[in-house]
Amino acid sequence: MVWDNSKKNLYDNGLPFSQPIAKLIKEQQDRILENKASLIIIDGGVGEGKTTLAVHIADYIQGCPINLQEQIGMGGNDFIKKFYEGSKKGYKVIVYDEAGDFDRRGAITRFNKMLNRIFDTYRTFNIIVILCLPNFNVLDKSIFEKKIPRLLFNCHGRSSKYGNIRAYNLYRMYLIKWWMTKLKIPPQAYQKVYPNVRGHFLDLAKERSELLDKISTESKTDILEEYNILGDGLLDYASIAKQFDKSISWVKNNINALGIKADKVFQKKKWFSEDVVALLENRVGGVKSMGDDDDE
Amino acid sequence: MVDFNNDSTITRTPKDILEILIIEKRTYFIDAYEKYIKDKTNGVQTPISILKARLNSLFLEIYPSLQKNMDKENFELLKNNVNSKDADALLQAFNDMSEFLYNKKLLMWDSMKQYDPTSAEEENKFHGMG
Repeated sequence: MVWDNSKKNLYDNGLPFSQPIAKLIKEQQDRILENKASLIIIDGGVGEGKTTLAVHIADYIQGCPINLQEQIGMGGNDFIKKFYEGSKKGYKVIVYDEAGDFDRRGAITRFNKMLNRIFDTYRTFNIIVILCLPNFNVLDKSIFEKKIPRLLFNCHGRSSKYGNIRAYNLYRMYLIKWWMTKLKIPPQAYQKVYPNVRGHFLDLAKERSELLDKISTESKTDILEEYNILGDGLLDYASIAKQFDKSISWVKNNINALGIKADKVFQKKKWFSEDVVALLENRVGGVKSMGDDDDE
Repeated sequence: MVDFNNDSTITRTPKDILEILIIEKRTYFIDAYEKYIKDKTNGVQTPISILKARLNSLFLEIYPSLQKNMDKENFELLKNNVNSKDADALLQAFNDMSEFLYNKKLLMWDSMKQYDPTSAEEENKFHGMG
């Protein structure tokens, strides 16, 4: 469903979201001043307005419109980079947008490791982190045991005019997690637990919305391109090395020695067709391969 | 009713036994008042003797504490109400004694700390997740 951009972008309180939501966010700002960790999670289905709400909240925390290019990390790697750069620049808030990160195998495990690493050290950065995910329950239990997630905003039932929010604190998140293990339809858990607060939010201003769409699409295009490459059956150095149980440098040396050119170069990474595996096998079988001594 | 012949009373402190007796007497008065109201509603002429008797029992049970802790004027007023033949005065006396017992925490069952559920962090702290 598309937002109706002809309508207003602010409520009577001067904010693009309900006042009770602002009260909850203020509590997190106070928490940061006490040098405690604060993680705000926004979850919900595709197109429910998670990123829009994240930008609204980030603007409120920052006290001015955030820099969409520098303060929104699209995917795990982009987020880590922007987190550390953002902390150096003195930003008060960083947003992580899932952006298809979880579609890959092992992605959620990597994501949880990344989060644990960041939150083990990040208190000193005094940054509020906002995560946009399809479902908050993918987060590792260790994050909850460390009491890092403080607020969950569940976006649901968006109309063309406004989005809906159910806000839960850490205590109620635990209740939702429990219900999710009991119910045949886990998303119904959100209806089983009464939220601390309900609210609404409006769309971004037109120009900002278009810029956000552009940034989001660019990152997703990159991910799609990588999927295309994998779909074509192309292999990178790491995949080839795994097949031979050798190091990446061994693979590079032997490919260079054979004079094989990459089929594709994407984001400074070389991709080869599966034929390269057969060529390397012939080389390894008939001739002493380059780099064998290195491995010994 | 507390059974003084029961061995378990030996292991309890006098304070515990007395608290049970007070609550018991209070309950007896409430039962009598319930019957009184029921009969009155049905148009039955009901003597207040049982109300007065049970109220006096409760009064005697906590008499030393009342005398020690209440100011003289209020204590005399309570005493007059307990001896009254008017049902409303008896009820007033009962309510005064109940309030006294609530302040002494004997009747305080609603002592759970209140917090604002719209404050996420307040509730988190209440549940040990601060």
